[in-house]
Amino acid sequence: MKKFFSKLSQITTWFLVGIIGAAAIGGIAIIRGEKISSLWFIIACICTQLIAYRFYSLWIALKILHIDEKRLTPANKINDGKDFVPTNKWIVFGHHFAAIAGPGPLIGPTLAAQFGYLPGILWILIGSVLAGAVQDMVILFSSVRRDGKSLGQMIKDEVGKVAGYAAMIGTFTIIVILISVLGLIVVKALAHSPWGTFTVSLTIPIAMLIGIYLFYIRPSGVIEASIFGIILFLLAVYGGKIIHYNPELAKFFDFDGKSLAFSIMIYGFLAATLPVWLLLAPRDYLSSFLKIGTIALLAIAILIFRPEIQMPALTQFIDGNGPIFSGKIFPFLFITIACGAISGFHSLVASGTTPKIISNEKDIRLIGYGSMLLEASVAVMAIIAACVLQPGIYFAINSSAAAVGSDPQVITSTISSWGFPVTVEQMTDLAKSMGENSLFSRTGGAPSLAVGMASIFSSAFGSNMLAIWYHFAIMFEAIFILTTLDAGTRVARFMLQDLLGNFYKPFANASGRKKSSTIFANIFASFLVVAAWGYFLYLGVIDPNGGVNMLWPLFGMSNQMLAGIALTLATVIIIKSKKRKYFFITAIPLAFILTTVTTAVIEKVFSPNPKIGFFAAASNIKARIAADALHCQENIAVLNQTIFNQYLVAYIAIIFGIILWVVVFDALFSMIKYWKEQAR
Amino acid sequence: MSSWFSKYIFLLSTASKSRHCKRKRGNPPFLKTIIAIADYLNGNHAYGAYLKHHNLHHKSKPLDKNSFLKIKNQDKWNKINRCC
Repeated sequence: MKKFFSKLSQITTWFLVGIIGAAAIGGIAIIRGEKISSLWFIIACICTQLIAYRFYSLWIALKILHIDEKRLTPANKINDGKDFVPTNKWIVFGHHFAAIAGPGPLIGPTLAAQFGYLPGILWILIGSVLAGAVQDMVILFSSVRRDGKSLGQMIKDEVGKVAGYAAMIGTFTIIVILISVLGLIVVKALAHSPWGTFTVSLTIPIAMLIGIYLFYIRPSGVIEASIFGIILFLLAVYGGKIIHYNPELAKFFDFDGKSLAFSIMIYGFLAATLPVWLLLAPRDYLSSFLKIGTIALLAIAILIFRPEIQMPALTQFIDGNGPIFSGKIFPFLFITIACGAISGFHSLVASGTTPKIISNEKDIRLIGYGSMLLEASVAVMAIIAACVLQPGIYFAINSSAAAVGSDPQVITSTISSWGFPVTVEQMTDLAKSMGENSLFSRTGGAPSLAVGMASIFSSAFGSNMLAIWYHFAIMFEAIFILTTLDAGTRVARFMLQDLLGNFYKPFANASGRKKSSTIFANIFASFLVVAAWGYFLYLGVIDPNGGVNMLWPLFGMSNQMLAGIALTLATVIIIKSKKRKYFFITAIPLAFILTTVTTAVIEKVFSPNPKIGFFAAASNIKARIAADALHCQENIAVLNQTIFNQYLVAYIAIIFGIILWVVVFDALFSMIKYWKEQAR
Repeated sequence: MSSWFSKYIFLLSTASKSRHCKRKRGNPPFLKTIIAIADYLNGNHAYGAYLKHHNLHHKSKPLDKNSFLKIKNQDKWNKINRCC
C-alpha cells in the first residue's frame, strides 16, 4: 500500500511538472501584443529540463547505452594520479560545466534576439534536450568505454582514417575562427571605453600576481589565491570609474578597434608562449569561479526581479533583413545559437579530461546530459537579459553603422521607423548611466548583454550602481573570452606542431616531459596560430558591416559542422553496439544539423543578396568601385581587401560543408556494414 | 591539508564526524562534497592518487607535492579543456 501511494505521488508530481511546463511554453508561444514576465521562461526551462532529464536521459542511459555502475571506469582502472583520477561526481560536473560553458551561450542568444524571443527560446529548449545533451552524453559514454579516447581517435577507429583527418582539420579551423570572433567581441566591447579597457587590462597583472603566488609560494593555495584575485578584480572594476571620470587618465585607455585588435594579438602570442603557471592557469581559476558565481547571481536576480520582456515574440526580421545579421530564421537561427542548444565543440571536452576522471558510469548522465542542460539555462538567461531591454535600445546598440548609419539622429529615426521607438536622449542617458561615452553601434552582443545584465542586477540588488554592474558584466564576459583565447591559441599551437612535426622533426610538439622541442619551434608555431586568427580578427575590425555579421555565422557553421561529425560518430557507435532500432536518437539531430549546415553554406556563399552571400557581397563591392571613381586611393585599398576577405570566407565555408559530407559518407559505409551484420 | 581553508574544513568535518558517530553515520553528503571540492582545489586529491599509484607501480622516490602540482598544471594546458 505504501509503495502504491509512493508511486502515485511520483506520477502525480511528474504529471504536474509536465502540465506546468506545457502551460508555460504555451503561454510564451501564444501570448501576443502584451508583455510577459521572464518567470514564464524560467518555468518553461526548468520543467522541460526536469522532464527531459528524468525520462529521456534515463531511457537513453538504460535502454541504449546500458550504463553499468559496477563496471570500472578508466579513472578506476588506470588511476595514475595525473590524467586518470577518480573524482567526486559534483566536482566532475563543475569541471565539465566550467569547460563547456564559454561566451557562446551568452553571445549567440543575444544576437538571435533580433528575431524576437520566441524562435531563440524554443530552439534552446528543444535543441538542448533532444540534440545537444544527447550528443554530449553519448560521446562522453563512448570515450569512457574506450579508456578516455579523444574524438579524433574514436573517429579514426570507428569511422575511418579519412574522417579522422577531416575531423582534425575541422577542429583546428573551428579553434582559429572561434578565437578570432571572440577577440572581435572583446574589441567591440572595449573600443573607446576607457573604463572597460582599464578594468580588463588590469586583470592581466592580477592573474600574473596570483600565478607567481601559486608557483613560488603555495602551489596548493588555489582557494585563498582565487578569493584574493577576485577581490582584486572587483577593485579593478571600481578603479575604472576613477579613470572614466578623469579625462587626463582616460585618454591613456581610449583605443580604437584596430589598436585593440593588435593588443589582443600581442597578448594572445604572449599567453601562448609564456609558461602556463604565469598567466593561463591563474586566469582560468579566477574566470571559472567568476563564471559560476556570476551565472548563479544572475539566476537569483532574475528570480527576485522577474523582469518583463520588452521584445516582441517575433519581429519583422524573420524575413531575413535583420540589421544585426542577415538571413532568414532557417538556417540562421540554428547557426547563430550553437552553444546553448547544440555545440560540436562540447564533444572535444566530453572526450578530453572529463571521461578520465569519472569514477562511476552512472555519473555520465548527470555530467554529460545535466551539464548541457545547465548551459541551456545560461542561454535562456542571456535571451532574458537581451529581451528585457527596450527593443529600440537593443537595436541601437547591436546594429552596425553600415545598417543604420553613424549619425545618432539618423540611427534613432531609422530604428524608430521599424516600430521600435528610441531617442537620442534615451541613448545618451543610458550611456551616461552605464559609464560609457556612447552605446550606439556597439556590435558583437557583449555590450547589450552587459546593459541587460546590469539592468537586472541593479533592479534586484540596488539601482545606484548601474555603471559598476555594467562594467562588472563587461569584465565577466571579457575574462573568460580571454581564457578561451589563451587556451585555444595554446592548443592550436600544439596541433600545428604535431602536424609540422610530420614534415620536420624539430617542430614536433614537446608536450608533457619530453624535451625534444626547441623554443624557436614553440615561438614559430605560436606566431603562425596568432597570425591565422589575428587575420580574421583584423578582417572583422575593418569590415564595414561590423565583422560579427560575417564571422559569427562562420563560427556557427564550423561549430555545427563539428556537431555533425560528433553525431555521425555517435550514430555509428549506437548501430555498432547492436542498438540499431534506437539509432534515431542521434540520427534525427544529425539529419537536422546536416540540413542546417548545408543550407547555411549554400546561402552564405551563393545567395544573390549581398547582405547574405559572400560572393554577391564581393561583386557588389566591385561594382561600387567601378561606379564610383571619386573614391580616394585609401578607400579603394580597403575595399579591395574586403573583396579578398569575402572570397576567403566563402571558400572556408565551402570547406566546412565538404568536411562534414566527407565524414558522413565515410561513416555511411561503416553504418551499412554494421546494420547488415545485425540483420543476419 | 595545508591551507587555512582546508584546515577549517577538516576541523568542521571532524567535528561533524564526532557528532554523527553517536548516530553511527558518516559526514552528511553536503559536507562530504565541500571537503572533496577543497581537496580537489588544493591538489590533495590528485597527489594522494599519485602517491598511491607511484608506491604500487614504481620503485623511484615520488615527487613532492609542489613539484607534482607544477607538472600537473603544465600538462593540463596541453589539450582542449576550454570550449566556446
